[in-house]
Amino acid sequence: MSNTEQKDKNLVAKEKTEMAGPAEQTRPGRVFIPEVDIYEKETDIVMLADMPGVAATGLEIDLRDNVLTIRGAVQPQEKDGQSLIFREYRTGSYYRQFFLSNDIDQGKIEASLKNGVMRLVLPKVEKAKPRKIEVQAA
Amino acid sequence: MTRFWLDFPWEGQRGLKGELERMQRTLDYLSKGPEANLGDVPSAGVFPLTNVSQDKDSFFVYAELPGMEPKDINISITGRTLTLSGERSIVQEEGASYHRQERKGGKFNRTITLKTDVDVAEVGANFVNGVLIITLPKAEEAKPRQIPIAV
Repeated sequence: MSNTEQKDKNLVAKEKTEMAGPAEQTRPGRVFIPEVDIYEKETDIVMLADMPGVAATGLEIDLRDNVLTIRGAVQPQEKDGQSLIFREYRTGSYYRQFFLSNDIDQGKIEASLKNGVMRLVLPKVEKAKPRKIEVQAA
Repeated sequence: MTRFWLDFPWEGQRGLKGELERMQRTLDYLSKGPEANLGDVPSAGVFPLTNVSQDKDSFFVYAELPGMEPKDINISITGRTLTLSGERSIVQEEGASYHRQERKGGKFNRTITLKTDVDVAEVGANFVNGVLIITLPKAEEAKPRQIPIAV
């Protein structure tokens, strides 16, 4: 998608996708699957996830056995003493898992959170970085 | 019923069906309270989806706008018409090749018509962790008032 195409486009309202997993949640409340972008650059893989309402303290990133688990807890948006008049979207925590290949340097993953978007930088290990192969003249 | 924001400006375009849905929602609201409408509110494809709540002094409009900067969100109020507009841009990094692209960018423009007067000069907005919160103080005459009984 080029930049010009993006500029002319209008955003379409869409409800968040609720997780319908086989495992039951230990905590009550709804769980949503955050939308993500994953792209690859020469030295690392970057993951962006939309998690509105999640503060840095509510974000949990866990990596074991090549499975990356992202959890985001949210506080209720409405304060005590407010009554809801209408609701078009629901709130709840976020949860999503990804399998990572061995090409990721799992010790150097960096995470940040800004305006409700989580950004994970997953550096590639040396051997996975692209290398130009010289063709030997025969 | 004038206190409730159960009417949506675009419903007039939905004909009889929209009108019946509005009546049903109003009845549900009256019999079961706000929780009853959930899922029934017509989400007319207008971004961003909003939640609205109130306390005795103010209305609160919530919208999830992850990844936006406060400067890219325009909020304006004229009389009883609240307008939210802006553009969410997804910046692509140089030399990036995509594995997944689920996040969307684009423009939005949404109007919400209030059914009660608000104190336009005192409307405020916050943006916390990608959630926009607009506080609209009710106009004096729209606030609930305790009527003392003269003895």
